[in-house]
Amino acid sequence: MKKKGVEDVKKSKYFTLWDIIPYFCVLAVAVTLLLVFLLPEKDDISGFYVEYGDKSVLTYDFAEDKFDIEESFFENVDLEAENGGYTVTIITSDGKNVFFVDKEKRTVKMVDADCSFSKDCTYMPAIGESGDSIICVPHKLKIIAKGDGVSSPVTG
Amino acid sequence: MAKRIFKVAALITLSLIFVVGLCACRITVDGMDVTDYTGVQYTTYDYFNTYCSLSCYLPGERSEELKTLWNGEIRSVLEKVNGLLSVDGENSDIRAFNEADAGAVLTIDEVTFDALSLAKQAYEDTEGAFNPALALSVDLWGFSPRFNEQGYAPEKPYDREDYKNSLPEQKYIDAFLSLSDFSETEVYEENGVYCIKKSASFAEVDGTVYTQQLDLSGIGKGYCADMIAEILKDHGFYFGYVNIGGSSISLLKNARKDVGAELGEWAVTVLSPEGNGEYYFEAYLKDVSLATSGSYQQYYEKDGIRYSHILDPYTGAPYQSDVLTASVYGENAALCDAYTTAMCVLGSEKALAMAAKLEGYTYTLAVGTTENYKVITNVDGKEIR
Repeated sequence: MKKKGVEDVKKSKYFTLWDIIPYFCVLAVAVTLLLVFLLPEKDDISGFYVEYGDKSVLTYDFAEDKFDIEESFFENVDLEAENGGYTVTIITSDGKNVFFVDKEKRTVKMVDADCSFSKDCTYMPAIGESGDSIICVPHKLKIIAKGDGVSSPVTG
Repeated sequence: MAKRIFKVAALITLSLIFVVGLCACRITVDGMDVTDYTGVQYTTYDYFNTYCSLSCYLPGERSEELKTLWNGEIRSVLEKVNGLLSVDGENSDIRAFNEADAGAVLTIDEVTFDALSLAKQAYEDTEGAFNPALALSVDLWGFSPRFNEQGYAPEKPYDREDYKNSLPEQKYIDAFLSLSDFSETEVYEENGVYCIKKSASFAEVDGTVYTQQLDLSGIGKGYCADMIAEILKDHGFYFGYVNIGGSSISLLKNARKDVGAELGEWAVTVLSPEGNGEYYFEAYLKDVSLATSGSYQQYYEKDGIRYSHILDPYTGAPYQSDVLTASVYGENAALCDAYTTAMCVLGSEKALAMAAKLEGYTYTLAVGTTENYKVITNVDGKEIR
């Protein structure tokens, strides 16, 4: 067996490439785990549902791009595909609401209501996180986003 | 030899990092392991002429338990508190008070007593800037619940056909203001019975006699939000929040990490006073209540002046100050709500002086005009406009 000379030993590195690769892999896995569990997450919605009083009106799923309208509300719901989404009009005996479903942003925004007073729901921000809701109190209409998380509270 | 030791040391160090990484897979918030809090539940109810939403993180196997709680005890609390404190409820203590003669003594429920006691405290803390005895003025200016209903029609002597485009007559403003001294109404307990003695003051306008009327809608929402949060905690649900109308919120802890916030905190966004649905501030909070009031919702404009639903107890008219919106954070949502109203009414200078005396309460104010305002705050958070 050939012995290394003193100079050879001095020149040799502490780590060879094959030493570093396993260390790097271990480090990468640890960092990934930390990132996955500790970094903030945004809970995009998978869809939303609409209720009138305690009755279900419709549900929508972004992945399937499909509306399921309850039979008893067929006459009350009007859908129009436009601007990368849908404008949905719901007319009940309590009044009319119009909201826009943005397919790309996965959000829903109330754009009009014919209630007599302040139209609060039209000033509410677009909902885009699970658990978000837009509620038109005078018309008893609720739009509630579905997903895997709880949206941060909004006050105002 | 040294090289070998170095290699071993490096491997041990990296292994430790790996182990720490694995430990991070267990997430704890204030000593509670929330790793298995994969369940999410939210629901909404219609009460207080607005919405009430509940959102919770929980272990998946407790979903049915929470549903039962929501549809049972929590719904009962909402119905009871709303029923007792609304101005128009069939069995409302407040409605009975409002319809009673001057000087009348009425028995009230413990819930009403508690809410009125908080209202009394807020009235004193704010030196009258928060005043629940302005219900007649609120109605006069067109902001009581009946104006939110479809098909509004004038029915009272002071009603206007087009109430958003005509202002009330001064004689009514003055008369109703003269009935708004809340200190004249007494709230007390006698032999286990809760009572309220109505102010003996009355005012007559065009042959109609008016007496003091109360509106506890703001206090009521906060009071109820806190009650529900307590129920959730009593049943071991510590992660989520109760939101009534966006204006009164009771926060529990957050089981996830919100951007900008510490683990366990919520990044609470505050709506911009511009009224455009955007946000202007983000506060990082947990296990605390909060409330927001402002002039950017429920208002009408005439001749360039905005008339909002918050009444100034010193003028009997909608407030006109430099505070566009105020949020207050503290242990009691009902008091938070009262303090936000007072801060709007008082204007920034007096509001800050008042806030300095409120121990345990922090605030965020948007001060100026809708087009140009500054943010004054002492809470952990940041501007996001």
